[in-house]
Amino acid sequence: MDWFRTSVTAIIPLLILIPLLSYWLYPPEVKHSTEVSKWVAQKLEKIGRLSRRELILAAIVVLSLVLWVGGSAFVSATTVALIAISLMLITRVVTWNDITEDKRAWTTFAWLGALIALCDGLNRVGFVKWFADGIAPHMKDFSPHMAMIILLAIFFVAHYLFASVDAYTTALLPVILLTGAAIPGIPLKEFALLLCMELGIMGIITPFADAASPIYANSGYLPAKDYWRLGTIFGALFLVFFLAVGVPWASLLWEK
Amino acid sequence: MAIDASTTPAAVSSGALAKAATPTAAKSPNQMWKAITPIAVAVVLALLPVPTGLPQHAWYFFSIFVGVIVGLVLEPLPGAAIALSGLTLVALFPRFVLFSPEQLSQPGFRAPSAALNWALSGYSNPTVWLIFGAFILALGYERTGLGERIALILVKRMGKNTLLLGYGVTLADTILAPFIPSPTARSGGIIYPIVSDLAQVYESKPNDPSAPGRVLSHVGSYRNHMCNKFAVSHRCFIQSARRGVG
Repeated sequence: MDWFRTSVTAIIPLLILIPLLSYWLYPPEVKHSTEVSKWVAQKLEKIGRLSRRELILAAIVVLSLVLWVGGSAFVSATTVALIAISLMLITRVVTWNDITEDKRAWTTFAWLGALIALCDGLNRVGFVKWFADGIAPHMKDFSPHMAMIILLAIFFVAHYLFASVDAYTTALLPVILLTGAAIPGIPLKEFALLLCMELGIMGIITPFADAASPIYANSGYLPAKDYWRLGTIFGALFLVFFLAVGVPWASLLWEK
Repeated sequence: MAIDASTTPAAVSSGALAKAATPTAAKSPNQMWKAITPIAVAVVLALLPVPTGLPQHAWYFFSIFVGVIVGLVLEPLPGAAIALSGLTLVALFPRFVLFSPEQLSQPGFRAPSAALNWALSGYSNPTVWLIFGAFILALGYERTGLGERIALILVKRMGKNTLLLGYGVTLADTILAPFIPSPTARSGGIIYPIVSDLAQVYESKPNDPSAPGRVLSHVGSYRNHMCNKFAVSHRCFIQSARRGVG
């Protein structure tokens, strides 16, 4: 439970603050409406009881849920998604025609497939390693604590160049970890833990920064310009909060 | 009716596509500037002296990459068109952009086909397909009306205030986080379809900039990452400790 104790002070407040911050920074047009409840009740009455197709879909969703929760040992999350698509087609919950018309799905598919290759290319041509190697010599001038904070900040910001957190974990995390290991005085376990925690908050910065972001970025509700702008604002907030609260807390815990 | 089968395909079109279809935006100076900037950035970067220690082809690749990112931010074309163009550019000149001289001099190394393999590798990435699946699940919710039903029930309970709904979504994802380790499956497959219909219950359509739904999408996206931490950190720590330290 080390990871939980270490992350709790940085994460719980952010978890509570995020909906409120989004509400302030990107205010919705409709904030509240007293008529909504009445109108919704009417509408629920109008759509009536659960239809057969709804029940079938509900069953498919529950099956996916069960497989996602408990099936990771024998079926991957993506295979579960393919199972769900197939079952929806077989039971005619959606038709193939519906799927061909789903512009969001195909747009995201084309977009993300290209971006993942491009980000992988950056690693392949040796840019990432060169970048990480370039940091190490500059770290000697700082105190271990300061060096750790700088490395954490670099690790966060460099994620602008990466699609998905998985790629980042394999490509840059080991390099940064080794850079940290080369500096005497950095507590390595704590450093590794903090780097991993950053993985959880860096997914917001770009529309492709982690695997869930493309879905929301392509939902049609968040124009690209807004996504990049808000990503930067929230990213900065997260990073500052993480470095100012999470890191000192971790140091405090680990000194004992 | 918030979800009307006859209007859905139009409403579903992505923001990028709708933007490109706007005829008035096509020739304004603003649009020209947006189209030129990404290319200019890439060209200027490529012409700068290569930083020491970095091979020439890696620097060219980085220049194209930055050009694509600038293009994605400014969106002179839909994002997918920009990413695909950048990818094609790299696949077209792999000798100068993608492969090192050592790789090229290996006997039997065929740069064009190796470059194409690389260019298409993203499309066999499991994440891409998982995301596609999440969208199709959302489509199912939409077509059957189940999403609308769930959304209506949620709105009935907490719909007086959109902020409260935001917290509801956050809570739901947090509760699911320890049980569904894949954040894409959780946030995309389970939460997104409901959030998407939730927004439409408020008669907020995608691509409408003044849509009340945007706060929900937004919250959905941002909150997700906080929950990831709980689910992912532990595993990740063990992995990286093994990789880096051990």
